[in-house]
Amino acid sequence: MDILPQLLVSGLAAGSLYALMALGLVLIFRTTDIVNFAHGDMAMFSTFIAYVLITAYGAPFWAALLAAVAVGFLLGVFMDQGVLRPARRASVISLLIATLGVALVLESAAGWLWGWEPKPFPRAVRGAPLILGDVVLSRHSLLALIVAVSCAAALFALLKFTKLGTAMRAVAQNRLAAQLLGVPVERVSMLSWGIGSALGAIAGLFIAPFVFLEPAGFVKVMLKAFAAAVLGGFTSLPGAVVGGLLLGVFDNLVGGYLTTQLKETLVFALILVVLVVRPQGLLGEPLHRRVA
Amino acid sequence: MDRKRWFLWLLLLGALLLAAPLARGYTLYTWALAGVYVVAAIGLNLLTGYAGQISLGHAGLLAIGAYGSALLVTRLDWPLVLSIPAAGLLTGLVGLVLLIPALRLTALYFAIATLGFGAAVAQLLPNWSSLTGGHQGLRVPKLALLTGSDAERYALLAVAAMLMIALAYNLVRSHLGRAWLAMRDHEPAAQALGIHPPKLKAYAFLVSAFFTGIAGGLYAHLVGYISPGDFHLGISITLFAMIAVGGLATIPGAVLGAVFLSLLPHWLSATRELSQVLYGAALVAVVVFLPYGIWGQLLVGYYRLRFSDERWAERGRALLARLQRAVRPLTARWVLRASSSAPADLAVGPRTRTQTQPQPPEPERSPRRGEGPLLEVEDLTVRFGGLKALDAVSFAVQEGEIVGLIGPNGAGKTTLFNVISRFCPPTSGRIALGGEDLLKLRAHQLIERGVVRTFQNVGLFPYLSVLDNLLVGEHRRFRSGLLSVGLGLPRTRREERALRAQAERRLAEFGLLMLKDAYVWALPYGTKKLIELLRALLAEPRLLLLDEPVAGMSQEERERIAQLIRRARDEGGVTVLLVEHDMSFVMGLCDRVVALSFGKVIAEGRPEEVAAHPAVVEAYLGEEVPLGARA
Amino acid sequence: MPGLELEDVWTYYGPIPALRGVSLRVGEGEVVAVLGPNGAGKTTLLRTISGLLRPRRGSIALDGRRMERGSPARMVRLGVVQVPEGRQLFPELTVLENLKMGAYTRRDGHGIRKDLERVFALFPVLKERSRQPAGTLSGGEQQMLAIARGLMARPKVLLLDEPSLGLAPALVTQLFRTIQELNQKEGLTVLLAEQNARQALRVAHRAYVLELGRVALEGSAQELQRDERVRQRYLGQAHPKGVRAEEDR
Repeated sequence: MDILPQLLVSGLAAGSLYALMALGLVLIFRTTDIVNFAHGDMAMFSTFIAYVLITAYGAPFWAALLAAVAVGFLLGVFMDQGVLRPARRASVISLLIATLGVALVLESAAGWLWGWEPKPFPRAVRGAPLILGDVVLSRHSLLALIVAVSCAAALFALLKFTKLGTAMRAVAQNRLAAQLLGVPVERVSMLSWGIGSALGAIAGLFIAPFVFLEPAGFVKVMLKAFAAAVLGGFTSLPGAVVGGLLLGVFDNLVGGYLTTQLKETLVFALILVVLVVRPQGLLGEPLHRRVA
Repeated sequence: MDRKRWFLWLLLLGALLLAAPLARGYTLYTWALAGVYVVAAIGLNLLTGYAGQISLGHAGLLAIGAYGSALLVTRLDWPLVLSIPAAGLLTGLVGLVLLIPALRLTALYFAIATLGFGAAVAQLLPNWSSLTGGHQGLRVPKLALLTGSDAERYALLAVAAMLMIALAYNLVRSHLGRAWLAMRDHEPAAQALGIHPPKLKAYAFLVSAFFTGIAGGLYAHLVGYISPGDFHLGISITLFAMIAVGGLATIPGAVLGAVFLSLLPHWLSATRELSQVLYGAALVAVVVFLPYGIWGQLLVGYYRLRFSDERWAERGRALLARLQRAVRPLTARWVLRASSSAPADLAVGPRTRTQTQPQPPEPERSPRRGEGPLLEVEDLTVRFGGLKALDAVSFAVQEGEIVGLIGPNGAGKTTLFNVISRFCPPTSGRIALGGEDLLKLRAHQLIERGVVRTFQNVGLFPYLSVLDNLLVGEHRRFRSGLLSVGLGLPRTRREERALRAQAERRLAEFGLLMLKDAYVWALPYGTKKLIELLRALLAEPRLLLLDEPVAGMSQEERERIAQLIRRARDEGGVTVLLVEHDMSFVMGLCDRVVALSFGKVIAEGRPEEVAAHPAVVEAYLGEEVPLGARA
Repeated sequence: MPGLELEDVWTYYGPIPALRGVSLRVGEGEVVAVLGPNGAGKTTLLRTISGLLRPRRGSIALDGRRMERGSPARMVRLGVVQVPEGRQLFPELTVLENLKMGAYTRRDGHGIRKDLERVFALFPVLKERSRQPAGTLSGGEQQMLAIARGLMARPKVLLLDEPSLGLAPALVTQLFRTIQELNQKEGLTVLLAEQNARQALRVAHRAYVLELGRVALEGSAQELQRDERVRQRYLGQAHPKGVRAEEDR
């Protein structure tokens, strides 16, 4: 039996989630020039909140999802306003380190609140999987795919068709000009952070059933998001989507044909190769260095 | 390390050792563990604090060191005293090999690559069970000398940590340490002084990985048991917290941060979670409130007190007045330019002209013309996308001339300088330096050919002292390699002392000796520009490229700088190409002027001619429009 | 009094004063040019007025109201709009989106639509290219878009920072003609920072020459057009005194 179509479909389903996570990351980076190294842990924390609501309070999945989105949004806003804004004058290295600090706090808080052992996370929807020819797709994966695509579409619609979205793009492309036109760049940054982290939370909820939920576990997921963003081009939102999908497929192909044990290692190798051969990724712009 | 430092650290070691019999086993264990963190933190600090490269994969390096030593001991029966250093070397090499492709990446992408590295190692460890024992981990013998007691282990750790600190100091107080800081703070200026970033970054990574590998080995044999779970991302971030809290780019800072943060949880009897929360919160707090870290903040405060602005602004003006007299003796050194640059030859007193080697017949030092141009730019074109920044630019600079490059904003002057400095590749054209093709040189090779430049925004390194800045200017004269520097060999120390003494003498000639330890960021703008010019002159250039040498200076300062440049040419035979917006300055100083507009040369000739040239007037003032056209 | 008024403004970059006690006035309906060589402080001046930089000393008043402490957003709402140096468009946004960003602070949908029509009438080529990304326009078209975008904010005072930079001479003439039209037909008050003194003086009523952060000359445009000193300030003195002397102090 040819497993290729199966691998492709599963890969796309997984890839859509990587894409969603990467989308949040790149959105934040483009609007504020900061790489959020706490992106994975923010998603993890939001997912834990959902977990508690589902397991301890019996909440339905959609309600937990909404809660996770809200928590993710708030975490993003907190990061921007509570941590980065006061540290505005620090160097870029310092700001990156600050995001690391938040990651550490979130991990330990989660560990303290809910323990370090991996917990099984329920799927979004149960029931018989769909079968199309040789391909089997669980309902959860299908829903994940749909949700991811919808979120990406919603984001692009926001950016393209609303005044706010245009302002976000404007700030990302030329912050100075936006300031001079009266755009409240601080509020736009805050919103970008909120939306970016919320997207990560959504992705987290759908990924969790596959990786088990544990405080230190989302680093792997974040790494995949980074790989997707690097592959697509860190400065490109469509690139994040393309990168995520390609990564999902690549990941699955490796797992199916080679080995499941060393996927992380191969992802790392992929990142290295892309960064060396074509640092701007598939859809990003080449980076210039300007000399003072 | 200088004597005072040696003494203080040895004193500390003595105190630590004496305390051993007095404490309980568990306390000794936690302090020993702090020692491990000290070594690891210094390792990270060398890469991140000094060389400015962020690594998020240091836990992976720790793992390689720990498992490396563990395997050498359990599989090959090596003694600990060999296995741990060997593990360090192994880690250094493995890390370097894996990350060589990543060395040319910018900070962000390098960080991502190291993130991947750490994750890859974290995944390999449990999966390669034949080698690593998988999730169950490995049991290894603990450090022991005679008794194998906790006190003994603690003492061994203290000594090991001290040795590593000494090694770190040797590296940091050398020309390599200065080069790292230079590269971190102003890479183009560092390149212009002969520093080759990929090589320096490789060294930094090698050394950092070595330190971390040693720390890993020490960790393994302190605890006696290692497993994959010990080496997760949180550890990498914890190390960051330590060096950030203590102070980036300072050794005492790394030590302080490591000890403080590893002991804090024990003092608070905190759980693992709470301690991690503390680390994370500490990291954030430090970035927001104490960007220099505890030790760093203390240093900054000290330097502010000692070298506060107002004092130097006054002195600066007085010092400038002494320039004239000081320049004369300097010319004696320019004669030495013809010979090689071995340090021993330069140990000459300020006003003597005794040489230790035969003098070539003293060449005519008045401006030499007609010997073939020193710099020849031919048909140089630079395209950025669709825009032509330079369009078939051609001109020549004769030896001994002072040529000014003028033009309105956006005319291409800075682009031209950047092409000559090899920061920017041209689309087409030729540049020749004394007949040699300049374009086949890399940026860091220019200074060997005698091309030295200054930068528009002052190419000094703010967190180095004035003396250190001058010494970076002499980087190419240091011959010691990584190993000699690390081990603190006598040859290295002699070289450092000789060049340092020479730089001090030159500062003294300019009457600036009291500034030698001043951190550059603390100095007023005019003084900084002056020191940058000094550093350039001290490199004994054939061709001096000055990018806006008098921007932001007072009229009096401008005149002094003009006189200095003229003297450099008259008595030192230096050829000068400068970019300036101050027209009086250019007109008064330059022999010839080249005017650019929209990337093209629009006029060339004597200053008065160029100033009156219609194309130049138009470029600056706009088109001549008949009067009466105004509504 | 109506118009923009600066009094003894000092702006610093760290310890260095970039503006040293600049005083100037732009009356309502005037076109005032600020000339001077590179590094004289023209951009710093405009950034200070727009609220990107805060002056350490001195005052800035619009129609009598003090505003030197305002944020850039506040300046725009008060009607002071800057078209920054180098055009500074949003390259991936379309021409139309760029223009709409200009009207970001406005709430009057009807007024915005009318202004859009006005702007398209003034610059027909922008209407042609309204759906193209701004980055694909030529230099001259980009400059027009930048000015049009500024106009969309319905400014009381329009600040132009070196609009002729990088433009071919024919386009420069056209550009200044447009500025003149805007001032004469619509009564737009304009403060124009320019290196291109001749063209600027054609359209301006009055002008100031900045040098090293200070006002070195001021007067009516006609006076300055005829003044040899203007040229000297830009191109240095033909026979400099002092710098060549063989002094050994």
